[in-house]
Amino acid sequence: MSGANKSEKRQVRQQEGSPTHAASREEVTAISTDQVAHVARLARIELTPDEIEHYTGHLGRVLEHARELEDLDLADVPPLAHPYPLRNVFRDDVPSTPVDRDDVLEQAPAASSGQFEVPPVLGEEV
Amino acid sequence: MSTALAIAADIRSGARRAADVLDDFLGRIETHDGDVHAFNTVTAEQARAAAAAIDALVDEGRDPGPLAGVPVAFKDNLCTRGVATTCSSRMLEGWQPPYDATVVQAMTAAGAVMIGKTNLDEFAMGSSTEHSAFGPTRNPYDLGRVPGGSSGGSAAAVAAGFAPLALGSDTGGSIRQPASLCGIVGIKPTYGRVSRYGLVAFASSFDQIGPFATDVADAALALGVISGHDPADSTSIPAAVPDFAAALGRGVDGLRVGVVSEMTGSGRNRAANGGSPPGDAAGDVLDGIDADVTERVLEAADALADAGATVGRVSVPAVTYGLTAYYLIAPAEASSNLARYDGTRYGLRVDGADVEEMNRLTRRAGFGDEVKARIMLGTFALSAGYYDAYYGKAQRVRMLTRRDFDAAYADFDVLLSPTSPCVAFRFGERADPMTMYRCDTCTIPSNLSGDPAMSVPFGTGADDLPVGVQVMAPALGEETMLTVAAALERAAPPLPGPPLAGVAGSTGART
Repeated sequence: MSGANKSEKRQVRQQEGSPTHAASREEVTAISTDQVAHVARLARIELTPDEIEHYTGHLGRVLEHARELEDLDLADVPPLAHPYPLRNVFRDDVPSTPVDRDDVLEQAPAASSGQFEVPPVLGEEV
Repeated sequence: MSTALAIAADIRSGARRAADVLDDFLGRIETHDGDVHAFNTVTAEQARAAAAAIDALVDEGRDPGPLAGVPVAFKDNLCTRGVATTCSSRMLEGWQPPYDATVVQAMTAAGAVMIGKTNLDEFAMGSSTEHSAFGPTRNPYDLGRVPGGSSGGSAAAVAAGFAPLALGSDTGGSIRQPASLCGIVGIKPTYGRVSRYGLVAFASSFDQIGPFATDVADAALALGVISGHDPADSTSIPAAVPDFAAALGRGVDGLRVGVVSEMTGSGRNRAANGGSPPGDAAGDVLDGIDADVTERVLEAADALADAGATVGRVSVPAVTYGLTAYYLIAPAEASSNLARYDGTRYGLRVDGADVEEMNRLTRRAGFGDEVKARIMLGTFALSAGYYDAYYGKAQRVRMLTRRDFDAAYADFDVLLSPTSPCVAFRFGERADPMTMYRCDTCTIPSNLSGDPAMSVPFGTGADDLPVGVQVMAPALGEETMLTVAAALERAAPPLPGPPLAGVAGSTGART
């Protein structure tokens, strides 16, 4: 995994190194099949090799378009994460009736002893 | 077809029974929804019980509320206790939420009767409803065309006369664009005006719930019912809810209306001036906006000028980068929000040898193509080595958009633009992702800024299909926005209703 990360970073530097040179931009695809496979693992989505090809094309088209941002000088513009400036939102600390546990567990794929049930997390039966 | 206001007035006065009103709408659904497919679920039995309860209140001399007995359709990403809430995804098929969304509670408390849950692009990701796992919704004006999206089911339901009111959600245009394509009114309120509690999250810093209606007065009525601070949503704004209905008759005399140059570049003013209109500093315009759509916007501006408004052109340069910024930020937020669908707590599970395999196989089977693509796009945009280049930069564009709008609102009270760059398109016509994403090019900027915006029908474009004009206003400026929308509605050419038997025109034609 660390090897994949290194090659990704190299590719970014390559892109950033020639932000306005159209010809060299096209030589570097916006995202590779290896990167899509890596991202699918991070996102926990099982994909076949054909599907990895498909999403490489889909993501590539969107990221290709995103390169228009490279030409923008935004060094002096701070990022905006939330449109309306609300800070330190508190509510009164009063007891209320939570959603009923049984109602929630009734909708779960598997539950036992009042808890969600999942396959082994560590790969071994405990 | 009666408006929500007329229905509620009749039911409150005893002139009509809620049960009879409901039967009329259920009858239209029965007749036409096989063709339109606006609904994932029709809650007929529950609705009959609710209507009976409204009638009982009237019989007792009690007031059921401003939406007494008005049937309402909810987008199927709004949680409804004990009623399937699918987000049009295999992932949540059959899931029954343990609570009601705040807006569902508010509508019900005002006397509205839930008639069903409407179709959408899976998890609200799309502009046509073609990405629904349960098949697309068809536009009542032309069953061979999309209703827009992602709230296409809600828009089609109102346009087809299946319900006088519907609620949808708007993350990048998902209320306004389908309203435009279906010839009805749709409002995206200020971010935080309406509680998002119980709305299944897509991109939390953009998502906002709003109403669909056949006219501006009904939309204002519904907006008033769902607006207000909610302790359950920490992003909801602690501001008083104005009397939106009072804004409708104020008139536009003296209001300053700015036509956004970047969104009307194909219009006659531009051509007449041999290029950029005077005062158009940027010169850049958004591509792909149909000339007849732009014409309708310019006619709408003329109509407002005739009604006494001061109309000018205004440049909001950052909007030309809105689409790109949005399609990095929204997938990034989605990749985080949709991590919860891992086969553990609700919905689908595909068994695996260990928990991680179970997660991977569940997400493979449960998510459709577009949802997978956006999750991976967002995961990529947030991943080490790319965060600054993509997500970080997009957030700075978002600030730029905020600043450009603030500058525009220093000179203008409201802004005008197309809602959608085109009229309703045919199924499959926009299969390429970037082509589909461009549907949102005029609506996204208001999601980036968080400001309110709405679509009002104003004439027709290609193939006599409805065109919507977008009215934008500064944060918490819904009243001025509604004043202008009401004036546009009064000036709009009559719109023939969709060619479904028993469904009347949706606006203009009624008067």
